[in-house]
Amino acid sequence: MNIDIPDKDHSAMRAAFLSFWTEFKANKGALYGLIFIAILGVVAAFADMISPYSPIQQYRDTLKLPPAWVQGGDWAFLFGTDALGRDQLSRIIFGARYSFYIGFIVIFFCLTVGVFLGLIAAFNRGFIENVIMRTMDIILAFPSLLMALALVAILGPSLENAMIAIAIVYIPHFVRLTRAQALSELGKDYVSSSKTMGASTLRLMFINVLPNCLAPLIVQATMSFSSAILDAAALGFLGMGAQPPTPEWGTMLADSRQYILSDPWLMTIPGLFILLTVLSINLIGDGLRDGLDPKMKSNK
Amino acid sequence: MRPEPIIRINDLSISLPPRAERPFAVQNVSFDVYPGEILCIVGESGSGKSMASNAIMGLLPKPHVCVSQGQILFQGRDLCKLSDTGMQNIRGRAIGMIFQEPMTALNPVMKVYKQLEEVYRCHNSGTPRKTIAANIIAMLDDVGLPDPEIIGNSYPFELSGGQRQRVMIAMALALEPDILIADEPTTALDVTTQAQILAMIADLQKKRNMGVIFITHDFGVVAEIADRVIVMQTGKIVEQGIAEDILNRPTHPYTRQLISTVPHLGAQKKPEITSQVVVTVSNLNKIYGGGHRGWFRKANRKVHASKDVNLEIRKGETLGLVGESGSGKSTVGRCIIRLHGTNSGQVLFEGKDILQLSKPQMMPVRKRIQMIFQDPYASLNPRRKIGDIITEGPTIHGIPKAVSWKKAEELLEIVGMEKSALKRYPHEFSGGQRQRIGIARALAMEPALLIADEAVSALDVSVQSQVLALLDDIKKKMDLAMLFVTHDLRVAAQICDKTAVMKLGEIVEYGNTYDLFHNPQHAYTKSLLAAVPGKNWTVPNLSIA
Repeated sequence: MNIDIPDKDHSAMRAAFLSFWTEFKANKGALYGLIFIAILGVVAAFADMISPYSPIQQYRDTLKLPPAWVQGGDWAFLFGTDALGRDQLSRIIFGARYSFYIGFIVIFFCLTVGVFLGLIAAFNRGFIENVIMRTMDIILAFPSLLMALALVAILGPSLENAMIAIAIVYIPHFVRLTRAQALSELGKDYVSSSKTMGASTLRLMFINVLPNCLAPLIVQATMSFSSAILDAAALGFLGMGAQPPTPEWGTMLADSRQYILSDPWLMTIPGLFILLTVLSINLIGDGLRDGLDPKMKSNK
Repeated sequence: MRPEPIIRINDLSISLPPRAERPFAVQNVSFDVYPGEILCIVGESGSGKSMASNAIMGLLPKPHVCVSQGQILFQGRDLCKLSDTGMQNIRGRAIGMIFQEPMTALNPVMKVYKQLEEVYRCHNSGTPRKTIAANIIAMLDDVGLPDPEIIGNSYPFELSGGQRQRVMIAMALALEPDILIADEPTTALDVTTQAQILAMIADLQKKRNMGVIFITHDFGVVAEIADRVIVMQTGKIVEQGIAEDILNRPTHPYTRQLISTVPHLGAQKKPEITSQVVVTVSNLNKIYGGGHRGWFRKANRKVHASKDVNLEIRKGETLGLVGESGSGKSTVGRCIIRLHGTNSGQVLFEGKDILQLSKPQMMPVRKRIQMIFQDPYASLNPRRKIGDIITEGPTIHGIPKAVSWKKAEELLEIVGMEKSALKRYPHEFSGGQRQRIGIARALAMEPALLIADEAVSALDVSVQSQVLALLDDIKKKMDLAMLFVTHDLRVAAQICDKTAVMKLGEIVEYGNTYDLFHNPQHAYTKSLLAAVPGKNWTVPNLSIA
């Protein structure tokens, strides 16, 4: 579709991005969140180079070592070791990789399916819309974690199946959001104008309407990214997600559950990372909303 | 000997936040309001006319926008220095205000009676219930609401726009203020309702000897009710004086320019057009709603938006379709271009009944019929560049982008814009410029029939006259047939060769514009013409300077 036009410039786009960035920067929480996630992202990307040990290597002579700064800790194992003598720091680093993996795959799946179904529902009012939207209502009627658990029980416990289950649970939010946005855009005259030109339905959907629905979808995607990580950790904790010895944060929590009283840091450290990651992404989501969706902007 | 002014505004300036387009919303403005007069403040959008009145009421969006200099003297006190509680006592009791949108100015979940009662309760908490009730009934009666009990017992959404505006006025006048500020109170209303409301305001003002500050952009309205007029431009008063003088002998160039752009109501006699017929509409019927109940939805009300409509437009001819809101005039336009389905009827376009064509058969016809929309802000896709917007149609019809891009450059020149606009986004343009872009987009398809759906209604009067001139010019140059849908009879009188008047889905009168305006036959046409504000004022000819 993109035919190159002579001396096409991107200054307008750059200006739009700059104004978004000023808005985003003004939200300090979002900025700190972005910094944390950026660092975590780099760490996850270069996990092989950064992590001091292999995440599954067991050091049998140092079991349940406390973090280095606690009495009895060893600076060779910064975050200590778990019950099988594996280095916690290395497991956290590799676990970050899984968290991003889960987040991105789930969001990708939700966005493609959700946007597509939402647009179809908005463009085919009546029977098709009813079928799609009522199905979504049914999915929404189940508590999300329970639904995901049931799906994993059917599919079999593994990280991939957990991701599929989580994605299915999240799809209705995207369908509803897309449909509502698309419907409000469809009422505007620029769409009528395209219709009078003879634009096909696909063109109306993806070239005219979808770009105008993106802002709230991006915000929703960011917020769901963190919930996906959280839900995957929960499934892992319940033994229905990633299986040992995968260094997934939720699974790490589950593994150390029995030592919660004797060696509390075994649970504290992965728990803390889940908390910080989810919090950071949610803060970024807030910042995105400020920048992308001027209507939701708080009055300052 | 003039009486003392009720309110005296002295060298008032209102500052805007640092990044606004100009430093002051209102700059060094001084005026007085005397009891028993209607003072009209006229100006185009952005002239600061509403800001001035909001300042009087203490309704400026502080702290971004505030009074930086000057006084508002009311009963010897400076309103700018009053505390919030002090201001509360003034609002409503001493100064009443009515707004443009009666829909949003009333609380939608509160019955009318309760809302009126609230006004009394806020200010005189001691008044016995019975007195309040009697007052409310008398008040509703005063503003011309026939059954005060029934009206009082309804929710705002159950009332028509005119009724709501009457309720608003009743609320504003409940405590018998000395001054009424009316901010474009009739702009959202139909012309016949507008006439009634204007008459009512004038009547109440005389009865109570109030001062009225009436803010409007419409010189017709000014001619109808004003005693004195203030003309504002970009925050400054450019001219003030007696209505008679300003309307007929304006001295400031800006006022002269504004008044010269007001369309004349007296249509000119135009030669009969006998060229080839482009489109014939016969017995067009469109019914909204009335579908039977589905599983998940209720059956809705049936509305006959177009009832046996017959029209004919020739090459180079402009047919005006006028009527009040809900008359079905837009529906007819949208049915012709097949944005809406139709229930029955025929639209013969260049010899083919286009209502029977399938989607692929319709494609070549789509090129030949184009539309210009009302809202210049919603009719351009905010995420696409002007170039992409204008070339979208040709691209759909398989014309190479390089060719249509060249064409778009020419078209922008025709509609009076720079070709550098092609690479910019819609939000960078003003309303008038956007409407020009909309016209260029329609012309890019080389249509034979142009449907303009309230194309100039959202524009300021000076921009409106430019766009009208442009449309007329293009029509002549390209020999187009044009269907011009409008609610504004002045505009119709100026641009249309023939005019059809619609009421509740039916065409009640159809004929030559000149005859229709000078010798209306149908009672409805007569009432519409009688309701045009300022009909007794002939726009002075200012072209000879």
